[in-house]
Amino acid sequence: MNPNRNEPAEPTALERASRELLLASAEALDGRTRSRLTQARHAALAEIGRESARPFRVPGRWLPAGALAAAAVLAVAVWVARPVPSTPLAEAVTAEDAEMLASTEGPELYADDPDFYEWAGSDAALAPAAEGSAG
Amino acid sequence: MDCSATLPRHMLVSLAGADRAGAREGILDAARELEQFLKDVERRAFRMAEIALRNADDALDVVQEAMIQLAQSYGTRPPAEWKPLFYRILQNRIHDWQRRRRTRSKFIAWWTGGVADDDDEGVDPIENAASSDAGPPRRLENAEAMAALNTALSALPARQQQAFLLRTFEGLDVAETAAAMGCSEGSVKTHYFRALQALREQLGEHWP
Repeated sequence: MNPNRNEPAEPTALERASRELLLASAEALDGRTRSRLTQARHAALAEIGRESARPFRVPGRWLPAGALAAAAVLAVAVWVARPVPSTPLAEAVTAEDAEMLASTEGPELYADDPDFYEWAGSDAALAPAAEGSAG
Repeated sequence: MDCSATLPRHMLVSLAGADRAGAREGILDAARELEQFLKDVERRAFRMAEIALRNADDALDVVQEAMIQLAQSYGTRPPAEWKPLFYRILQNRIHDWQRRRRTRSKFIAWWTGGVADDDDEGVDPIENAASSDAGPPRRLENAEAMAALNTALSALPARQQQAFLLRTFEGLDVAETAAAMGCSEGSVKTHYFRALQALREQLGEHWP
């Protein structure tokens, strides 16, 4: 064959014989190989069906990165939108303190035993201690 | 020709779920044409891969990968473009497979202290020629001629082997072969010419 020409005028005997033998060997494949080729063909046809049924395509190699990014965005969104911690005890204490501060009356403990508190505030209550420390 | 009876069930299910009748019909048409195309080329593609890889199981895997990639990436392209695309994919897969095999052999050679289990070197081409017991009994002359051809083709450099098989076996013209091999038409002619010379030297003038 002349490599400078586009097409050979006639195939040589070697080309013809090679082609015939190769075609015969392709036609004479065993059953197992033919079955595997049929399975491969069906697998390929399934792909064209699946690809066409999808609304859009995401290249497989980007799937892990996409999933990671989506998980990160979700985590940030959950963190930002979380409610401020507020326990029932804290709310009760706060309300009680506000009520006490707003009240114009004195603490209720004075009403329990006013004589005792009057005595405790007098000099008589302090006298024995002063004597004891002097003696 | 109605090929829908041979389509996989899950594909028919996905077709049934398609919203638009036109789109469904388009998918079905593409699938029918693709099935016909793959049916037409699969055996020759397998033999090419088998000659290049010298292993039937590897060849089947490579052909399946090429079929799937064609359907995934180019299934909706005009059928006239499929043949060079398919063989381009197939040749790339074969090349990847051979490269992985060489890397594995080098690693094994390093690991075992120089005892290489190289599939490409020191191989007996007669032992590794495609098995002739695969098909029904054939005439002895044909079997011998085929074994000699397998041996000679396996001994060719990869590019010469590709050019010869794509041109002679598959029947691609120079432009299609160049597209399938990813090179210029001039390179195809050179590879093909050298392949013919090498085969003549190997097989002799009076073969078969």
